[in-house]
Amino acid sequence: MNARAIRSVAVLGGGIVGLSAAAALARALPWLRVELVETMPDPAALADRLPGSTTAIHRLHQSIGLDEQALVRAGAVTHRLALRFEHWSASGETWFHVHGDHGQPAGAIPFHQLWARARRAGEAEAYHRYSGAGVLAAADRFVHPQPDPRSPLANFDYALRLDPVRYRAALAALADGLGVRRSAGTLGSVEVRNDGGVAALLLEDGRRVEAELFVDASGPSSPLLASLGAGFEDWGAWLPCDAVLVAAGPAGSPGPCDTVAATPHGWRWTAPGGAAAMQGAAYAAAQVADPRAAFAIDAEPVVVRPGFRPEPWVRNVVAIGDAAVAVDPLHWMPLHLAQRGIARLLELLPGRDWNPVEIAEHNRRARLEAESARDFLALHYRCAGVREGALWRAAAEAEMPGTLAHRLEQFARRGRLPVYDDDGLDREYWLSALFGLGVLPGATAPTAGAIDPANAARGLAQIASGLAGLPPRVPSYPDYLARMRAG
Amino acid sequence: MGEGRKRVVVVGGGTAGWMTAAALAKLLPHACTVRLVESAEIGIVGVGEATLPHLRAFIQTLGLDEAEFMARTHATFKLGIEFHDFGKPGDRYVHPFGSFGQPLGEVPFLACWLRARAEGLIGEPISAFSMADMMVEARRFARPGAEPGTLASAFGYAYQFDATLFGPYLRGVAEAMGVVRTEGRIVSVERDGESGDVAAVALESGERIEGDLFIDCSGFRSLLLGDALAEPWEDWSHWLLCDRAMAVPCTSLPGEIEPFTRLTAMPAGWRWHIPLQHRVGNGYVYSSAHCSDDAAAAAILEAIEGEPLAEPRMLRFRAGRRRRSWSHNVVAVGLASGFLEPLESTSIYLVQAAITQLVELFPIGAIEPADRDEFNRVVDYEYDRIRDFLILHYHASARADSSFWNHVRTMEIPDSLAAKIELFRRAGRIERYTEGLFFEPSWISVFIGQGVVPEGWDSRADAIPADVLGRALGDLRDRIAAEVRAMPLHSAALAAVHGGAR
Repeated sequence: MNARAIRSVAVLGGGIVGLSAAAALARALPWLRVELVETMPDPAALADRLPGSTTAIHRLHQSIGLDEQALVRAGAVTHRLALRFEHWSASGETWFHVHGDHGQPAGAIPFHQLWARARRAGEAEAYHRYSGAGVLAAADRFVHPQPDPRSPLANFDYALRLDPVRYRAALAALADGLGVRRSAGTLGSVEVRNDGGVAALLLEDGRRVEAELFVDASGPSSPLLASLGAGFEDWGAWLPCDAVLVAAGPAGSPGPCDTVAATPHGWRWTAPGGAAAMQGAAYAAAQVADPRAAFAIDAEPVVVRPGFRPEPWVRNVVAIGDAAVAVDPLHWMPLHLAQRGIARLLELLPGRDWNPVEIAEHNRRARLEAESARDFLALHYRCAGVREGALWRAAAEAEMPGTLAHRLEQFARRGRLPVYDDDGLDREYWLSALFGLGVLPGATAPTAGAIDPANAARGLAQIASGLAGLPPRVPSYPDYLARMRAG
Repeated sequence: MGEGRKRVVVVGGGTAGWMTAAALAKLLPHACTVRLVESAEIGIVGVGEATLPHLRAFIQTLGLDEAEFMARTHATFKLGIEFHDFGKPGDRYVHPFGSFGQPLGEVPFLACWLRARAEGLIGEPISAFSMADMMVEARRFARPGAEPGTLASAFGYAYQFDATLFGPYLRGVAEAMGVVRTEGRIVSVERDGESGDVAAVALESGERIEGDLFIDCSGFRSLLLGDALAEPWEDWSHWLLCDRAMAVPCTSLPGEIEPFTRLTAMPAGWRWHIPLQHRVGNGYVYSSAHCSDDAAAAAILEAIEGEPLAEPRMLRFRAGRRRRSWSHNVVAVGLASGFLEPLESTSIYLVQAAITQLVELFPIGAIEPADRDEFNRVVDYEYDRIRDFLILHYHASARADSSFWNHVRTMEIPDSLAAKIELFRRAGRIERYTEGLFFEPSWISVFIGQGVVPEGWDSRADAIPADVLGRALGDLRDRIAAEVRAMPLHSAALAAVHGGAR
């Protein structure tokens, strides 16, 4: 066996993120002694509380051995095909953020260039109308991607909507089966080694938990990482929502789209998971005196502080999820970043020598990914078309992170999306959001000049009318789900 | 300029010039007119007889027929580069076009192989798990398959061709697409007094050629960017010492044509052996501080395997690049923008990368400084990463047989490269990036080929039961061997292409 391999790990945090990390480590390295200290849930640990995931969840499930079908039957998850944005763009048009192909490229010319040109001329429908997944989402229908690559329902992906309580229970059962030792506990203090790493966790009940590696998955206060003096980068200037509400309901039949709707105070979301439906809101605490009334949601307001731990891994402590990077719930980014963080940890798991070069590479990738997510979310505030409300007015004027300014500058001129290293969100993620928000390039890429606009418009119309015929051939989501649950 | 097409003037008609002219004419017919000025009196360097797989995309984008292209340039197929004596005298390894093995579940192949070797579960070197590497050994060739995840799609290929024929071939293509060629020697460059942009170039004949955008493909002379605009030069010759090449073609020996480029370390640099259909290209790339020109000529004549077909020809160069490739309304493509020695066949790739960015960032209306910056950002990426990769070939060596190798082996290297080496040495990890050339398999092949062997590996490999791991690797090795055995010899594959062309 690899002489450097670590033999024991202690994970702090009793929510979805801590359990996922513990299960992933236990499954990847079967000899590892994995101890999970289940702390009291932190209301600000959004990745543990929200119902939303992204397509990143499939990879995590594969590596921990969690089966989607079983989760569906247990009522722990439903499917999410899209995010429905309401009142968010200047035109007020609703759009569907889907993860999948839109249209077809014409040789070397990307579809989005042809769409943008037609859109400027007023000759194109909403962008999602050119995507099989988008059309299904708008009709509240769902199927899994089809295996035949020629099918209009082949090239897309979907996410899962969680019932946080049942999903956590499924993870706990899985972790138990993998030999993870779980126990409730509260961190009292941290015993630091001579070299500055952590030797043990001292719990309030008097226990001492030793390990070679410590994972801080306990939420944004990240007491373990903070004990090593890690700093914090405040992203409040770009992500204006610093408070959230999270509540159950409203009950209703399950649907394949979550909705995020801008209001003058911020935005509210609904996740129609049937019996497990949830709703909530995000806003700037300083601007909303009575958030319960403003959003008509009965929940305890929770303060979140958007930002990033510039060194999420220090010596033998690595932070995952909100403990490493805290963002608001938009696009369900908190769990997305947590799950990507777990994948990154497995991929770059160090040896016992805590080599600074390996740690630096981990932190470099973590930063690239966190900043890309931050820019993507910041885009939704900076380019929102909402006119009413102090939050939105301030956001429209706010300075942008340099990388976002660069991206927008390139996109606004010619529809070009610059490539950055390892940013974790692909082009379709950006295009769907940019076009939904109404950010249209001022000019078409010169290469698209080779295609006559009238021909292109005919092609677009053909695609949209072809896709418009799909929904009647696809079952409604409640039927589809019922069939899946029956197995 | 308004709605009109931009007047593009390409200065220089070598490989870079004609590639640029043809690509702009093909991809931007509505956005520009292309004029190319070249002088028959000025020789072309014609470097880059060996290419990278990216060139195939270029050929396809232009809509060219592969068989015709290969016939016109006397091209052979190339599956990688075989390095001799780099790590230490007697060493041999291949940098193949393609990946090594397949991951087992979520465990990267390299980790599986490192553990299997350490525990004696398998005896084969990592090359036994590369399709391209095994094809190189067997001198066999077939085109890759399209289905992802299969062995047949786990490799790529490029070409080795006569670079002096590639430009003229593309000239025909470009002229057919409307590129206007002007023969003449540029005697002066006229700049706009206010903006500093290049307004026109004047020819010896007295003709004055105006343009909106000038592409400097004038080679090492860098007539517009270097001379006229005086863009500063960033020198890298303290890392890449070689500053000359002594080139000599020779006859092919009987036997199978090698579907790869062969490079051999020499006392003051290295030499290339590039088999074409009708001859073999050879050259000694050396440091003039460590070897005289006469000694270099004698050494290459001594080393070649066939009969020399010409006198050795000397080329001078210097490693480095212009600080910005695009300044004002001048975009330098190819040697006019910078030079990296052809150790990894990157010359034509760098031309292609610049063209791709130029097409993406082609001015709409006036030239935007932001577009220029973006172009330069991407070009920097390309240069920096290739630079580090090249330095690795010199630095990761145990050769102590000449002052040249003693110097490069022990010199200070860029921090970015030192970190890459250290990261690999610990547990076989590669710094990951999405932009630029040379990804994980390339780094793995050179690291391992030149003796940088990881001390540990991704621990997940330890979770695989030993018998399962040994069987999986043995099976993979056998399947690769069987696939390669079923392929035709390189000469037969070439004959099939040329039969089709006729």
